[in-house]
Amino acid sequence: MKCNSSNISKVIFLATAICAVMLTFGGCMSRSELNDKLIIEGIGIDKANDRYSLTVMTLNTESTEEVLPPEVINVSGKSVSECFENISRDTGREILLSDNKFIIMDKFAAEQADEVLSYFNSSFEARPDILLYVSDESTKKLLQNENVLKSMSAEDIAMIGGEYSGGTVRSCRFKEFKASDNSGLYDVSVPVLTLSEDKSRIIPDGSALFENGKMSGSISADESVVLNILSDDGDGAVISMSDDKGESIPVEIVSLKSENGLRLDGGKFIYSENLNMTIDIHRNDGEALLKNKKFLGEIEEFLEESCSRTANKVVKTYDSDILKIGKKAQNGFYTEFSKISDWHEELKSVGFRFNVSVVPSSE
Amino acid sequence: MNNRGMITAGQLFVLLFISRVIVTVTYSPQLSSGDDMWSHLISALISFPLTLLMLVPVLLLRRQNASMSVLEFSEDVFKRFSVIIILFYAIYFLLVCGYGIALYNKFISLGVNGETPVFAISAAVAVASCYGAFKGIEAMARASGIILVGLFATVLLMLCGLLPSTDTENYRSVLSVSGESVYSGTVLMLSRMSCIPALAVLYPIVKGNISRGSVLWSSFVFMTIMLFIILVTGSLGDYLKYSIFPVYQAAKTVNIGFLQRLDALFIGLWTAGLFCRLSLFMYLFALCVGKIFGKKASRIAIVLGSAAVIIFGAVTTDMGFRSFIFSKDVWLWLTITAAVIIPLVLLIIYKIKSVIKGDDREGVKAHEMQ
Repeated sequence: MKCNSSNISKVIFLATAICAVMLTFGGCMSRSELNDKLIIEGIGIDKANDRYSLTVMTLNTESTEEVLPPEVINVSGKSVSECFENISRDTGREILLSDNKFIIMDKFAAEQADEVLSYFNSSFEARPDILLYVSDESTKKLLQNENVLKSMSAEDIAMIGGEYSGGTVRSCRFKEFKASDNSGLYDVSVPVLTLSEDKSRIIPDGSALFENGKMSGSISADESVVLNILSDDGDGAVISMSDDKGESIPVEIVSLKSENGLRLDGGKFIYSENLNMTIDIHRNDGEALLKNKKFLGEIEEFLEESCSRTANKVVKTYDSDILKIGKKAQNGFYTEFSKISDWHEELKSVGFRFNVSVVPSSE
Repeated sequence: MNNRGMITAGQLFVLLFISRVIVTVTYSPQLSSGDDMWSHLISALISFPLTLLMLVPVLLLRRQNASMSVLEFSEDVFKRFSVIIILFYAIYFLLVCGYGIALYNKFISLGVNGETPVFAISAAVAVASCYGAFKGIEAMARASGIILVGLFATVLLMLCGLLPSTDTENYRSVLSVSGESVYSGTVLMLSRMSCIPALAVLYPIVKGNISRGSVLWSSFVFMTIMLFIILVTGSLGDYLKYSIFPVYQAAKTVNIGFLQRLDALFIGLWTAGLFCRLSLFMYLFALCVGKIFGKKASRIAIVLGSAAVIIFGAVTTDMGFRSFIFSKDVWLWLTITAAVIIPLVLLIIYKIKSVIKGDDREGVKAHEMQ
């Protein structure tokens, strides 16, 4: 009997303890319904005269039966943090950043990206894998465009870069940007977005180059493709060449293998890259062109020249170490590298050597 | 508190493994003067043989008499003055609990920053650990077996999630690692070897090959530490430079198909691991108190100790990483004293006494023969 009553009291005690934990630690007291939250899916940041204009794309929860276009809210403030506070105050809802997929900055904001994005460093909800973009024009105009809202979701916009761009631009995540900013030894490129000709979609149009966490310049769509190739990310990219009649020949890179190396030659770093490509030409006379060895030689020459021109422009004009030459130098030549006080200054004297070899895909 | 039970060497070292690895996952570079993780890979390689060396005095002591723990040896050697040593161990084990709670509070407030008050979470963990300590070492050992499975799954998930995003360029050359960082990292790792003093108190109730278990335990601990360093550095590189809790930051980025944003899962598992650690050291604290004041006092000690740990956690929440509770130098000396110096002193004195007793017995025999 004694044994039974002690077991029963144990059971009662444990059951009470479990209920107490469930009721107090389940968060029921401070629960927050989904309708009370503003679920942000995309952010656009414009900067002008020390004021920020924040445009946010939020999940439209009005209907549970159909997928509605996202709601877009625009506020301004002295800082990104103030803008978020203003949104929260204006809508009466708590901001939820954990579902945010992308951040687009206009060119003025991108020129001070390290400062602009500092809010997301310290925010516990912000994810490190948010995709970054730079906009050709005001992000407010881009994100509030009705045709864009009808045809593209936040996820569609987020997936514009990288492999979804067909090898034209490289995607850049917040953690990569922050890593380059922390390191000071290498930089990132961020896709530039613009409206399509019919103003119904957002498309990539070149890349913005960064130096030490700030935008230093931009390159065109073609140069962006070459930069992708140099970063061993060129599968599916299409290079445009011209034939004798001035007509365009679209050369598609089916597969790409690159080997790069760095050597020290008389106190100067020489960066070299061997690119082995399998190509295809989608034109009526494509097969004939691919069998023409002279034409293949011209493609190799054209690509070598494009690589050299783009690399020099990116590195020497815009001081952007996209190719991570600094990292390679630090790892391979630590003693010499440790004597360098400012890597970005030293970068201007780096020499480039490119060797391209193409093989038709039919072989 | 339940009677001392018997546990196997495997169970003990699983408990000690979880206890040690949990501290590793809440590693913060700010605890070692802001060094980066990569330099601590060398620190781990240096700390491993040093840890094996630190184990030697305890294992040699056990060889003298496997049924006597370091507390019993001190009673045998120092008689009444053994109270000082036992009190030292009691305070050490209580401080280890305090350190665990303080670090966990920092982790929750700076790394996670959820909506639940930090005090409530740490109080809940401390109360649960108090219950664990009451149930005894056998219950803790059984619980640790289940938690080990979860911990193993977590490590596997992190491995699968972070390995594809590893970039070999994030691994810097050995030449770029500074001697100061390596030294700081080594001091930090050795200062956290509170499991060795725990072993010194627990080995009488363990059956099995403790020497082999110790070597395997330290091997697995350092392999896990090095795996975390390699994975986290390789996948996130310089992104972690100013991160307070790099392992948790890396866990946030784990992405395996639809399995995303698993940080909440990791927090749960790590909290379970902390429960193991606090229960173990609270139990050891009570064991020491029981040695001085009796068995009833040991039960009260668990409650009072838990209350002290909760208050300590609340008081230290706003203290920075430079405060005394996180000082790696203070902890190194405390741990070396508990793990090496005291067992070594006891071993030497016990050996001398045994030799003298042996001479006296021979002298008596010779006298009787005459």
